[in-house]
Amino acid sequence: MKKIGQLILNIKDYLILSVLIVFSLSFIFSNDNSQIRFLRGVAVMMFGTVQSGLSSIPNVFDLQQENNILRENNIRLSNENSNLREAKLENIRLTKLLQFKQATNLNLTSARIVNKSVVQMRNTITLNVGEADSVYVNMPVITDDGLVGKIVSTSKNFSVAQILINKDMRVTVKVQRTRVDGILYYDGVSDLFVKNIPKNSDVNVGDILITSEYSNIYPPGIPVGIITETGNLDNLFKKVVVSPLIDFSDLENVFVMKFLSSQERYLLEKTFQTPGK
Amino acid sequence: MLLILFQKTVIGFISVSNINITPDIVLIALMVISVREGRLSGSLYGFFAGMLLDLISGSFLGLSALCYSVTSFIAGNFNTENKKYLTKYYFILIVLFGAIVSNLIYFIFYFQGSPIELSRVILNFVLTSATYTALLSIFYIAIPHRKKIERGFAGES
Repeated sequence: MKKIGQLILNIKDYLILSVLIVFSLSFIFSNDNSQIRFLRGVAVMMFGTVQSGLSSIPNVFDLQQENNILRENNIRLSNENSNLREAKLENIRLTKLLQFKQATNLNLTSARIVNKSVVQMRNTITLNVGEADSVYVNMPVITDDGLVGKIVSTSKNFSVAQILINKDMRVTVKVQRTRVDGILYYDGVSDLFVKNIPKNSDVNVGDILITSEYSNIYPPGIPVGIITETGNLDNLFKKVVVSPLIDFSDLENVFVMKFLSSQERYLLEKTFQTPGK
Repeated sequence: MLLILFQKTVIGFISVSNINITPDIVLIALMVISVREGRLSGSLYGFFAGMLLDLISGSFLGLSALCYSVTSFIAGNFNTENKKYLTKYYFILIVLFGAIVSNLIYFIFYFQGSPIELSRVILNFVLTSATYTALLSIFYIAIPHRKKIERGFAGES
């Protein structure tokens, strides 16, 4: 008996540990017991009161993580906002173009400018329409504001248009109010001019210029520009400075007019070497 | 009791990673008690501390009690006359080992029936939490007049 007592004493640590393990396991497997649930409820309620008092203290690491998430969200939302703003502006532009297309009887093909130069001597724009869209050389390019230029080169899906601010560009125009004719050209630096307007012509600042019926490329009546300055030259003609109606710097969408002048007229004029434009 | 409250409230503020890895200061205290007092006292303290922790944490009742009593019992084997294992880096190793054992038992039970692989449990939960706990135990080594604290631990737990 003494030996057994001694043995138990020797292994008492293990026995107690075993009892503790059995207790722990029995608690684990009786977690759904209603008394345990009640006990836990009371403990959680008491502990919750303490914890709620501390809930306003921020976790440094959590704050850092939250900050990172907020930064990411901020970038994403800024990007989304910028896209929406862009979409809104595009919507306004396209709506305006659509209204113009619906209001006019002209046969138009809408095009997006995919490339452009506006600060050189010979400025052009590249459009995302080409021969596949029945766009050919010498077709006029316009917007609802007025004349942009003309197509000078085409491929299957793209085309290049010469715009008014191109040194090679010539457009026969007339003053809308007084029907005085002239030829519009770009000086290659900053201004558009109209030449061949006699000194005694009735031309004033603010007069609108439109395309003339003498043009072999443009249909008559398309607005081209507004006269901003007039004066007399040393010869028989007036100096007329014109501002285009189009702001080429923010131009994004245009129409290509499905208009080709009469081949018969062109050939006849060429035979007599008449200036065509 | 204070340490348990501290563990469930303040320690949460120094949790790291998105899975809230926290150090276990109750375990550190239990390791101190076990190495100082022996495995019997250690396992008893461990059991009651674990029960209390389980009660307020809302997790499986008895699970922390099981982990702590077993871990404290093992740590109690390092109880020597001169308490040499309470000094220097031995203690950190004991805490690391104890935390691995404790976390292993805890998370194996905790994730039982879930599709998470055991290797992931060990890597993401057991080892990270144990390492964090062991790192925190450096503070105990660095604190002068530890004996007072040891007595405090024994009294509070």
